[in-house]
Amino acid sequence: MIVAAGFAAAPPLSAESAAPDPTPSAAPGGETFAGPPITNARGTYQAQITVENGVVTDVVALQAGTSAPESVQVNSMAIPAFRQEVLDSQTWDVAAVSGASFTSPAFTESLQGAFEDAGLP
Amino acid sequence: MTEPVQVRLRAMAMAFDVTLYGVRSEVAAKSAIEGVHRELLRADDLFSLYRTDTPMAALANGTATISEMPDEVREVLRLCESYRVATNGAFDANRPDGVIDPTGIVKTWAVANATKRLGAVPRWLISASGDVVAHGGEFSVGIADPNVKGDPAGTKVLDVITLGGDFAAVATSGSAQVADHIWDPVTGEPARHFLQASVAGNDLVECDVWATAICAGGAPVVERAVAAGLEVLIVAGARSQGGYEAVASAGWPRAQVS
Repeated sequence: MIVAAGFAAAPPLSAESAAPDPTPSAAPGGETFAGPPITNARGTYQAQITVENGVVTDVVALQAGTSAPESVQVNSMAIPAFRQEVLDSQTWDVAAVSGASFTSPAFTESLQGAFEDAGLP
Repeated sequence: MTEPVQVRLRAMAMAFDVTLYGVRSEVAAKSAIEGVHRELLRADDLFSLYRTDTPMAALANGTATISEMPDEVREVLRLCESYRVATNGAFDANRPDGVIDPTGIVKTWAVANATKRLGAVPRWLISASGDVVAHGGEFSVGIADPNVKGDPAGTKVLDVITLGGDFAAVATSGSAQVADHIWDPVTGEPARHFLQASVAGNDLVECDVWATAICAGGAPVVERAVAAGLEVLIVAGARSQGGYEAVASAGWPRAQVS
């Protein structure tokens, strides 16, 4: 949720309450199925799903295309004026977060394989 | 009112977090927020392709023509076309199946339109499910980890920038999670150039368009975005030993860590 001193004091007005969305998490004991690695010109993609009681509870990317060192180098070198750096995920006190908002089952081909392994339609 | 007023509005199946500072009264805050919400819902009424009763749906299924569209729809389609030209085709609202789909621009257009209702509010911040615009002073805004799914509010971040000074807006697009929502205009395939692209500038719609275009078109589009006066942070890939490979343009408004 948005974090800043004094924020919580204000009651929501006519709009829906500003409560954070519940975060889904993989159920313990769920079974995981890795899809086949799918390679194209940009790299290798591989999805993994977690299934519990016939329901997909989590989808993760085991491999995501540009993670191969050589393709990272190609991408970086193509933008010569840019600073190259390594960034790590960490907790910060910020007013908002900018991110790619919509999740869809990316890595479709690999996902399809994982679904087939799991016996799901 | 000394306390900020914060609400989460829903429209277009998304969350919009609106925070107002220095509003004169509760009545003034309520009026401003209702005005913003009305504009966001209006965008739903005009542009939803999931509903069958919107002008955009009629245009997409061929039962109406552009000349029959309300002014706002024509304005958005004009914007799409001008950004298609500006990005050399990397942002293109014409889907491969021939349907015009301005979905990529409607969220931020609606937010930009709705901010007209905040004229009486001295300082505010809107976080539109990952795209952020600020007014009236500096705010620290995080850049999400590319692996974060759904609404990034409250999640760990890779980087922190300052909005409200030289930059009013930031938008982020991902090719890892939304790969099949963005097409490479050259190959016609889902775009997979970078894990994530964030664009900072002064116009939220412009930032949104260029973030999408960079994910669709890769490095050449990054250079165009910088030439257009925008600042860019690209997350190129995940490192096997942890962390991400990233590149930032020279003027990327990274917050000074105290």
